[in-house]
Amino acid sequence: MRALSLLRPDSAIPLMREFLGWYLVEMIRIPRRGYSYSKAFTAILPILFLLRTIFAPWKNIIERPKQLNIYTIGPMLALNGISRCIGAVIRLGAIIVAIVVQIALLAFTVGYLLLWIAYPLALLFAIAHITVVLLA
Amino acid sequence: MKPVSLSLAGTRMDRIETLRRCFFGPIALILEGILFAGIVFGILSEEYEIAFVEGAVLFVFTLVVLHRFIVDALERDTKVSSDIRELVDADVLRGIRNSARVSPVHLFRASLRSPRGVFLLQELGIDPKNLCTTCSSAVEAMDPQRILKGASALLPKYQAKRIAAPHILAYLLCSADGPFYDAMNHADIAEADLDAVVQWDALLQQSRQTSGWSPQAIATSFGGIGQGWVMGYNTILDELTEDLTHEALRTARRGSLLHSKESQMIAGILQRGSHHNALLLGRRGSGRWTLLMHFTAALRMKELAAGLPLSRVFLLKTQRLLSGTDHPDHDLLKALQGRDSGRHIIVIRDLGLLLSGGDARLQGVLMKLLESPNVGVVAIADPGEYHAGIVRYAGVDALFERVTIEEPEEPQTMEVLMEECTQLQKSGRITVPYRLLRKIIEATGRYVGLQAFPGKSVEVLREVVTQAHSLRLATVTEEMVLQAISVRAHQDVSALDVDDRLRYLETEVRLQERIIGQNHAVKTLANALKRGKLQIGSRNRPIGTFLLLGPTGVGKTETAKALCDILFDGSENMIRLDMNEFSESTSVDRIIGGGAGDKGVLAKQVQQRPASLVLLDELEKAHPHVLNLFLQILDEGHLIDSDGVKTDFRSTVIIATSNAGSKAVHQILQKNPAMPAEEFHTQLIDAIIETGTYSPEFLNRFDEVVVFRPLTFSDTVHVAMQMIGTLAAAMQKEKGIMLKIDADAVEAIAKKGYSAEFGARAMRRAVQDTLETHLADRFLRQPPKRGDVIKVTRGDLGL
Repeated sequence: MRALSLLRPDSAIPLMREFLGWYLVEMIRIPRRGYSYSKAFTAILPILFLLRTIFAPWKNIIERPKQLNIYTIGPMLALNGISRCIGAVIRLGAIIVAIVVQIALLAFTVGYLLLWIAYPLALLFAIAHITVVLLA
Repeated sequence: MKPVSLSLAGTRMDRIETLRRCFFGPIALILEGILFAGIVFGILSEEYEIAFVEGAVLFVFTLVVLHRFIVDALERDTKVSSDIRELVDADVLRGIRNSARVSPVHLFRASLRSPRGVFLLQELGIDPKNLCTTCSSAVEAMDPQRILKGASALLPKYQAKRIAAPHILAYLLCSADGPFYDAMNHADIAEADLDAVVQWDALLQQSRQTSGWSPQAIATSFGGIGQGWVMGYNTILDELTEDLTHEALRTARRGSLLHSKESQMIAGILQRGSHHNALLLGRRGSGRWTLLMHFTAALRMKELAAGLPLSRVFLLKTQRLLSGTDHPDHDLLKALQGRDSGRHIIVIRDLGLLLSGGDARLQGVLMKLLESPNVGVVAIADPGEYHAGIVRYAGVDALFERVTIEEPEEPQTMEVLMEECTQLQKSGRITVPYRLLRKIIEATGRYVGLQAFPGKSVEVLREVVTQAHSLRLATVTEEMVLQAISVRAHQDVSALDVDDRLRYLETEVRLQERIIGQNHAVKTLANALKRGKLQIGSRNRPIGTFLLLGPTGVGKTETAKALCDILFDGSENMIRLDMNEFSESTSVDRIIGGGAGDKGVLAKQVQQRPASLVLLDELEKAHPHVLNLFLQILDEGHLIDSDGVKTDFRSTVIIATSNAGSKAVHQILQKNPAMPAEEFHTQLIDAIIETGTYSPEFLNRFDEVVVFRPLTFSDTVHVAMQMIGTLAAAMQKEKGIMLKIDADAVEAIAKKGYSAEFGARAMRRAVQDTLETHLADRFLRQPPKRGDVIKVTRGDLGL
């Protein structure tokens, strides 16, 4: 059977060697991949940019009246203030979402990396544990 | 003889494929499913719960790790090995049961079973089962090592690193004789077609490797959300413009195959401090809009990656601007005032309309936009619109930098169609065979003149795929393609196409029925047309170009009309130019146009009907400058008009008639009335060249110079009989009356209608004046009834 050919030393050894080499290189690729995704999410929701522009008017909705007098200043200040408040609230929400996403991504990447590093040991441990439990 | 085999066991790909089969083959998946079900049952049983949970996590993680390893290993480039067995791809190995003993038939059948092999054969129109049946015995006798060597020799050509099913099949189809050669011929496939489909397969592989979940794809899908919130939200801007960025990001996921150089030019122009407006000049369908979309998407991705302020690309709603606002200058400029960081790029799709439809104030707005430092304008126009509507406004024109978008050639158009087909097939699972892509390009090039490649072909492709989808068909058919093109060409292309070969084959016979007394001329014409149609030797010229020489009234123009009826299904597809009207030097402008959007009479008509017969009557009357224009058409198959637009004449037949040498004809035949046709031809040409009417170089430009002899009396009687026959057929059909006319009456009419000077030109008048007048008289005195037989004698006609 073809599957049994994998057990032959001339197939098994090169395959194991390639697998182990790949497994070790993946440990470097995992954080790199995490970083690429982090950059992509930063491009979509840039935290620093949102912080810099947190009090910018929402969608640039402001009023600049032609004449400045007592009748126009009030409404102008009110509209501009509301626009900035709306902008600040939405941006704050976006910042929170962005931070949560980045933390989640970081947690996932770190967790995945730790699992990757610990997997061979965990596999041996689990096999031993299951065996013990089942025999007990 | 024992079949030769080789062993692929132990190669890297074989190991990976075996591993894949062990863990992800059908039997393995079933076993894993059972095991996983057992684990889940164990968890649910609440005994040894933790153990089973640990087991489940590790089991799944193990499969994930193995899957990642196999996928990476299969995609990863490996070092070049001298052992050819190492180059065989998993795609082929998947179809081989015992890799230790691989015979040539195993290789062949594995290639036929592979999805890539199936795709290749489907597109070529070759049935895999049929190919297997007919070719297996031929393959058995081959050496598998030789097959692999042959396939590996093709890898550089197709820019591939591994021997996959398409390469093995390509080698067998091109190199092997016998049944493979027959299969290619049966499917009407040339080697160039096979290459094109293998390249298409490579494109498909590339697109499959680009994941929709890659970081770049995610960033492209969403764009920059945060940056967009500081940009101006303005009702006027929303009313007068449309933001193109999302559409651009959606369109640009496809590979950009054309006009990359022009895209860089636009980027360079828009980055300038001044004079930063681009005018994309190209015919409709040449890819101007697609180019703009790719440029917009590339710009956005570049700005996102570099953290630069985002540019906004707006399409100006010209109609809205012209009709909807009271103060366009105030509104639009205010909307674009540079409170936003980042540039504004305004796209104007119909600049000519804006300039001609707007008043001076609107033109002033446009000037301000063009001069504004943080607003770049990209206008799209075709050459006709540019010359007619934009050049007149010198101030506006001076502020634009022109970027000419050339129409791509057919091979590039084929690449675009393949790319488009790949996208359409992804969403709809409709197959478009390669030969139909070829047919679309060929037929749109031939019959649709008003639009450029690749747009006209892409439109047809989209339409037929949509139609197949709505009819729930798996494959697009040729009828659908021809129908779609017929609508665009305003003529029934399917009829022309199906009977095309027969028409050319029967040209001589059908011409003989209509043209009397010119057997040699008709034969010469028909043979030249057949050669031109089949394009024996490469042909980049009209299908046929002929100069018909001879005295007046011998059937030259009638031949052109008859040919148009036979080849192009009716005289409405004839473009007739009387060279009498082009006898001045200024007549050149009437042919190529006088600029400012005036296309010229010939270019305009050929663009509307690319498959036509062009008749140039009385060529000797044309001005020499006009004759020089036709040299371009005769030599190169196209005409470049005053706007720089190329009109394609490769689907036309050009016939020029000339009475030059009429006197020489009579002189030559007076000396020897029974002169053979070839000698008569030579003497007449020599006489014409001697008089200087046409130079030898000019005459050589034509495929054939066909000489028409003067008609004999017997020929004129035939002509008269033909005309009378037409009249009789009309009477029979319309009134149910049978007309019988005596032979001597016909002779008398023929005598009246013929003259040595004017040939049979006056024959129609003679028939009218004699026979039709007599019939009119007779019917007015005594109206005939249906079924009557009318006899006409010579005496009745007063001759």
